[in-house]
Amino acid sequence: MLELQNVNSGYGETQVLHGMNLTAEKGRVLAVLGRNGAGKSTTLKTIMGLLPVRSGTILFDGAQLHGRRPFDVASAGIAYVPETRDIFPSLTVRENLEIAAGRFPPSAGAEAWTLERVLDIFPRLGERMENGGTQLSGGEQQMLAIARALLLNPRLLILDEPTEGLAPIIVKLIHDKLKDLREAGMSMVLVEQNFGFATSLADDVAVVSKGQVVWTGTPGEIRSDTALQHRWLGV
Amino acid sequence: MDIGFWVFQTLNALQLSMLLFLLSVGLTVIFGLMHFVNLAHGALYAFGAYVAATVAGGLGYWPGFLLAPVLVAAIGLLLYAGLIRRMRKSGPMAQVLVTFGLIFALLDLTRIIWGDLAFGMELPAVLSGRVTIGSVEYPTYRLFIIALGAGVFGALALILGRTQIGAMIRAGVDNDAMASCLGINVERLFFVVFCIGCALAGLAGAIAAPILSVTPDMGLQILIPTLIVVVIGGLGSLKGAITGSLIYGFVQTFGAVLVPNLASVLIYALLAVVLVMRPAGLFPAKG
Repeated sequence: MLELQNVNSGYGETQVLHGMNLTAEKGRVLAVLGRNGAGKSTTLKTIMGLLPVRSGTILFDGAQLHGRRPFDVASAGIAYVPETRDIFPSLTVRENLEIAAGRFPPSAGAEAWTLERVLDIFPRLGERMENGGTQLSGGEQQMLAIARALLLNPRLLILDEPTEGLAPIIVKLIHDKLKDLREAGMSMVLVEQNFGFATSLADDVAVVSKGQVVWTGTPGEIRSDTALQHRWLGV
Repeated sequence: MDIGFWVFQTLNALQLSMLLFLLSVGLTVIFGLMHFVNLAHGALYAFGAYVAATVAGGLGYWPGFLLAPVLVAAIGLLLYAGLIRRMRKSGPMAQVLVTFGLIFALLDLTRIIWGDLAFGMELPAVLSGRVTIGSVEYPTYRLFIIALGAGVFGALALILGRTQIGAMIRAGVDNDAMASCLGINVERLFFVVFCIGCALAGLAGAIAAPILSVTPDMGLQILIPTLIVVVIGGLGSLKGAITGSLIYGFVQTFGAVLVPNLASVLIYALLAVVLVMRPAGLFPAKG
């Protein structure tokens, strides 16, 4: 579904991705693991068009994605939940959701995401609809960021460290909701530091180091291989 | 100093505030949305005044009043397509230099077209009289300016605060990268906002033309007050633009009549105080 071939990218003068090759399959969850600074977030930003691709190709269902602007990438069907959540502070919770709702139609055969549907998943947001976007707790902001992304009716959801800085009970809730989405067939790319969280959600795992994929396999394989975990993740 | 004095000066202050509001709101939202400094905003105001005065000379007041914003928005469109779009990523220093140069280019252009002599603009009969408010007789036209400014503020507040496109603009000011990731074409949004800001500058020129004399350097004269309003109010917000305009209008007007010796430094002193206490201005869009 999504394919990165030999992608080089980075910030300004600093190159972070060095020949990144990554494939995400339709209807599956790909977990991207790696140490801090390995290039995981940079990979997602490059996919979204937030960072320029210096060389290499990014294909989404065969269509060229590299060199396109973020709103083109969004309209191609990729929704992004950034590490910093990026809730708009000047907008209420309702406006944060409405700004995404109805913008893109669902793909053929899929049920459209509506305000009601995302509030069914995250009822807590329903109680905070008229609050300012930044009056929410970290966990609520994460729920809002995921709900907002779903309202774009994406074919692929990419999430950057959705559990970062959250209390265990919220991590569990986010985990269960993402698991429901996965069961419903949502394709996802999940960047995570939380090894247990990521491997219990993923169908496929890619380990990244120094801007390259150094290992791919299944969650079972990496869970049983402590040497691998120690070498690339420091777990 | 009776009550009439206070009413009269308050109305004067409001009238100046509304004129500055029409200019500063475009400038501040353009800056907030795209971090673009358009120093030529004042020159567009002068253009608006000339267009209004010229058209009014031939066709009467209202055609001039209506055509000025449209033509100035068209000039804004040309500036955007020819210059500003290319300058988007070139950093504030280059933008300031180019738009500063633009001031002089546009100033000379108005000189070439209209000459150095001051223009006047006739008022329509319905606006040329005086209205009695209590013990005060006040020019109808100045009340019209106040009402127009308040009306524009109300309309903008409604659009920015209550509509989908307003939410998109606020989202773009908050975080343009994330807004883009939600499928919003922020660049096109900026273009629309830029043209509306230019139209409002043209409108400000059109309403200023009958009360100020229309001269090539009127854009330069208004630029500094407008920038002060934007800095005091805080970048990017409607609330900042209206607050900054009211503060400037009242300090300037009452300063001139109550402490004439200090009037010219008063607003700069206030600016300095605001910059020390609240470096980002009173109501910046990004808190």
